[in-house]
Amino acid sequence: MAISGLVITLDDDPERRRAALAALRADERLTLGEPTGNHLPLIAETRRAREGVELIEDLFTQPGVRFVDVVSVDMSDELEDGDPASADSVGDPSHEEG
Amino acid sequence: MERRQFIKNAAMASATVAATRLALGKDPPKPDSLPPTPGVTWDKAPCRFCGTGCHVQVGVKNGKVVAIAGDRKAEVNKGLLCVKGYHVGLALYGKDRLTRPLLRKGDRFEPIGWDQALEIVARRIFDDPEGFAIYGSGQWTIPEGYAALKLVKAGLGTNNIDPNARLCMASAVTGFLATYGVDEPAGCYDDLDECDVLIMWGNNPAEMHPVLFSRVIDRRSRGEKVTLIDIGTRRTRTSEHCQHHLLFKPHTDIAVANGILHLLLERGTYDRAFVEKHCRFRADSDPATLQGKEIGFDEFKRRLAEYTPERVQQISGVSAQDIRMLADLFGRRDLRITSLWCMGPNQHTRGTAINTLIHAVHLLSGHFGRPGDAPTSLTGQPSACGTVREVGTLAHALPGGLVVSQAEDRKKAEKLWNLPEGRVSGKPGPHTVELWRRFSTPKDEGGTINTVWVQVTNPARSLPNVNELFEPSRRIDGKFLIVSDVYPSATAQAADLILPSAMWVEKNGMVGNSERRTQQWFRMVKPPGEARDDAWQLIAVARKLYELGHPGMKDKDGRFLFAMEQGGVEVPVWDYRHYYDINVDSRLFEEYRTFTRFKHKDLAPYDEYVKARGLRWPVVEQPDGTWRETKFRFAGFDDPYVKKGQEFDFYHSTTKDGRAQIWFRPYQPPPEVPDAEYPFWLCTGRVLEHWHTGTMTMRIPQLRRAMPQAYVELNPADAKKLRVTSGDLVVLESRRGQLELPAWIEGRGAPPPGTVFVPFFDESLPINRVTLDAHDPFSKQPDYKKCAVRVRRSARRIARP
Ligand code: SF4
Repeated sequence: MAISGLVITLDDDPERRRAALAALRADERLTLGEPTGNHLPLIAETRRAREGVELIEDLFTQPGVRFVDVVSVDMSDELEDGDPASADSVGDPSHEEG
Repeated sequence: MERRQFIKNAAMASATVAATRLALGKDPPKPDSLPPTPGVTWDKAPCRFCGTGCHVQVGVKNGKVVAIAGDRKAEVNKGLLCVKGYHVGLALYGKDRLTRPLLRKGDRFEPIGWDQALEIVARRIFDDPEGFAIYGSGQWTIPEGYAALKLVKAGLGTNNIDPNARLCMASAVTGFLATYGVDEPAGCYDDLDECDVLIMWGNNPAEMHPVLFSRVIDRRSRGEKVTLIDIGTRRTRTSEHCQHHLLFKPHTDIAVANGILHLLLERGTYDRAFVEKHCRFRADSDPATLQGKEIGFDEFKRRLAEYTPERVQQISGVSAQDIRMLADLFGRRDLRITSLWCMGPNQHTRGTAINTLIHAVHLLSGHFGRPGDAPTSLTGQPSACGTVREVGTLAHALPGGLVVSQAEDRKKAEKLWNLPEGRVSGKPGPHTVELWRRFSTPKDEGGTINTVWVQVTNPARSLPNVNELFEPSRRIDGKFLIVSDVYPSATAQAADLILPSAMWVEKNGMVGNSERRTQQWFRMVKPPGEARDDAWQLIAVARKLYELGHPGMKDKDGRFLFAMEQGGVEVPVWDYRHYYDINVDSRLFEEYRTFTRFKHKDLAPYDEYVKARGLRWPVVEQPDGTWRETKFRFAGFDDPYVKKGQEFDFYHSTTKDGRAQIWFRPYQPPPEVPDAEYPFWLCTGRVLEHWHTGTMTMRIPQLRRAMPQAYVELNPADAKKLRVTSGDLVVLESRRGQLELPAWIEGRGAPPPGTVFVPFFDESLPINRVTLDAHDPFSKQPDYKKCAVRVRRSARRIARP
C-alpha cells in the first residue's frame, strides 16, 4: 500500500469545480480534505505506488483540475515487502531493465 | 493508533498545510512538524533530479529510504514536489544496481577488486596523461566536480575535462558573460512571485520544472493577475496555461526578439534613462569573439531597422500583431516582466545570440533588477550551476569564474593550490563534441584522446550524432572507456571498466540550483555492495598516481594534492575504510570556497549550509557574524557589491565601466533545414515523468509504467498524409541515422504541421542517432532542437505497449 498526500488546484469556474469535486469524491482511492480557496488537500491510497503515478496523470486530465502537486509519499510497506529489489542485489550489466 | 492511520493522518496534515500555504501564500497559523511516521528518521536533501532544486525530507527506516515528503521549510518548493521528486527515493532501489567494479573481457564483464580497478585507471593515466580526459556532469556534486577538476588541472596539468552540461547550458553561460561579464542569473525564483507577465522562451516548465511553474499557477488561483506567454515551436502542457501561445518557425526566435527591440526603439518606449546610465551596445566583430565590438546607439538602431513586425512575421510565422503585443508589454514601465528559458534558446546553433537578445530586450526596456523584472535562464540538472558553472569543470575554466587562458587567473589558482608556477596549463582542453570526436578518431588520424573517464552521465545516449561521436570509439584499438555509474547505463555497457558509484543520500553532497542556491545534505543510507562515492574514486586514483610517482600529484612542498589532516595527523581518505573518518565534502568545499570571492560569487562556510535549505550567492558575512544571501544581483537595494548609492552596478562589466552590453544579433538561417528529401523538423526533449536518459527514472516502476517508451509526436495532418495512426511504427531518418518508434498523435504535445518531436529518455530508442552535432560557435553547445528528418510508416507492425 502506498499513501500519498496531494494538493489539487481546482478551476475558478464553479461549474467545472463542481464536476471535478464530484469526480474526485467518487474515486474510492481518494480521501478529500477541506479545501482552502481553490486548493484541495487529499490523500490517495493505492495498492502499489505505481498506481499512484497513474492516478496523478489521470488527475491532470480531469476537467476542473488545473494542477496537481505532490506533498508526500510513504511506500514503507512496499519496500518492506521486498519490491523494489533490496539494496544488496548484485549489478549485472547484461540486465537491461529494473 | 494503528500505524497505517498514523501515516494517513500525517499525509493529510501535510497536504492541508500545503493547500493553505498555496491558497494564502503564507504558512498556516501553526506550522506543523514532520509526518509522525513510526520508526522513521527524517533529514533534508535536495531532490536528485532537476535544476529547480526542491528540497525533500527523506524518511529512513532500517537503513532504507522509505518515505519522501516535500520540505516545508524550503523556499524553493514550500513543501511541494512533482511526480519525479515524489518517487526520488526509489531511484536508489532499481534491481540492477552496480555493486562491484567490472572489467571487460571480450563480450563479458568480470568482477574485479577495487584495488585492481584503481590500478588500471591510474596506469592508463600515468602512461598517457595528455591522452586522458574526464567527462563529467551537472549531476556531480560540488565536491565531486571540484575533486575532478583539481585532479586534471592541478595534478595532470592539462585541461582535458568537460561536462555534459556543455550540452545543456553552455549558451546561457556565454550569454551572461557577453552581456554582464560574469555568469549566472541576476534574479531568482522570487521574481516568479512578483512578475505581472511571465514569458517562456522555448521553455516548458509545466513538465520540466513543474514545481516552479505551480508557483505561478498558484498565484493565479489566489486571484492575482499574471499574464503567461509561451513562445515556442510546439504546443505543450505549459501552453495550456498561457493566455498567449506564439508559435514560431524553428530557429527564428532571434527574429522575434529583434522585432521587439525594433519596436521599442521606433516607438521610443525603451527605457532611455536606464540605457544611458547602465548600458552599451555591441555587435559581432570580425573575426567573431565573445566580446564582439562596440557600436553606438544609432548604429544599433540602424541595424534593427529591417526587423519590422511584418518582416518578423515573414521570417518567424509569429503575427505582426503578436510582435506588437510583446513590444507593448515591454514598453510599459508599470509592469514587471520575467523571462524564463532553458533548452530552447540554449540548444541552438545561435545559442549565444538568442541568449544575449533576451537580455537585450530586458535591458533596453529597463525590465531588469526590480523583483519580478528579470531575464532568468533555468538549468536542467541539479548542479549544472553549482558544479559546472561555479566550480568550473569546463575545458577552459578554473574554479570561481577564473579561466585558464588568463595568466593572472592561473597564478591565483596555483597560489591557492600551493603549486609550482606553470603547473596549470593555459591551453583550454577540448569541449565536449571535440573531446568525443577525438576519442572516436584513431590516434594516427588526430584522435588524441585515448582514455575517457565518465562520471554521472550517459554520453552513449545524450551526445548528439552518437553514430559519429561515440560509437566509433568502441571499435578503435587503444581507446579505453571508464564509467562510474550506479546502473548499467548504455555507456556503462559499452565501457572497458565499470566503477560502481554511490548515489544521492548514500553519500554526503552539495549542489547548486538555477537560482544560485547552494544546497547541502548528509549521507543517510549506505550504498549497496562495493559501490563507492565518486569523489572517493577520484581521490583514490590520485593517490595511486602519487604512489606511481606522478609529479603532479604533489604540491610544491611535496604534499599529496588531496592531503587532509585531523588534529595534525593525515587521514588516509584514499582508503575507503577511512573516507568517512572526516567529512571530505566539507574539506573540499572549504578549499573551493576560497576561489569564490574573486568574481563575487562568495559562498558561506560549510556549516551555514547544514543549517539552511540552501543559500543564494554571493553570501556575505555581516558585522554580527551572520551570513546574508543575495537575491538580486547588480541591484543596489540587495547586492552588497554594488557601489554605495548606486541603483545598479554591473561590476564585472566587460567594458570595465559598470555597464551591461546590449547586443545586436542578426537573424541567420540554421545549418540544416527541411528540404524535399528530409521534409520535417525534428525537435527532441524531455517529459514530465522521466529525467534525461532515464537511467534512474526508467528503473522506478511507477514512472516507467506511466511513460514506458519513447514515441514520435506527429501533427494529425501529417499523420494522415503518411497514413499513420497512434501506435503505428514509423521510421524517422536523418542524414546521420535512423530510428523506428511508435507514433503518438494528439498526445501530450502538439507539434505544428511539418514538425515532429521525440523525447530522449528511452535508452532503447536512442534519438541521438538522428540528431545533428552542429554547435554554437562560442558556447560549443550543440542544437538538439532542430534538424531535418523524413518520416515513413514502417513495414513492421508492432503495437505500442
Ligand atoms: S521539480 Fe525538479 S527538483 Fe522539484 S521535485 Fe520535481 S524533479 Fe525534483
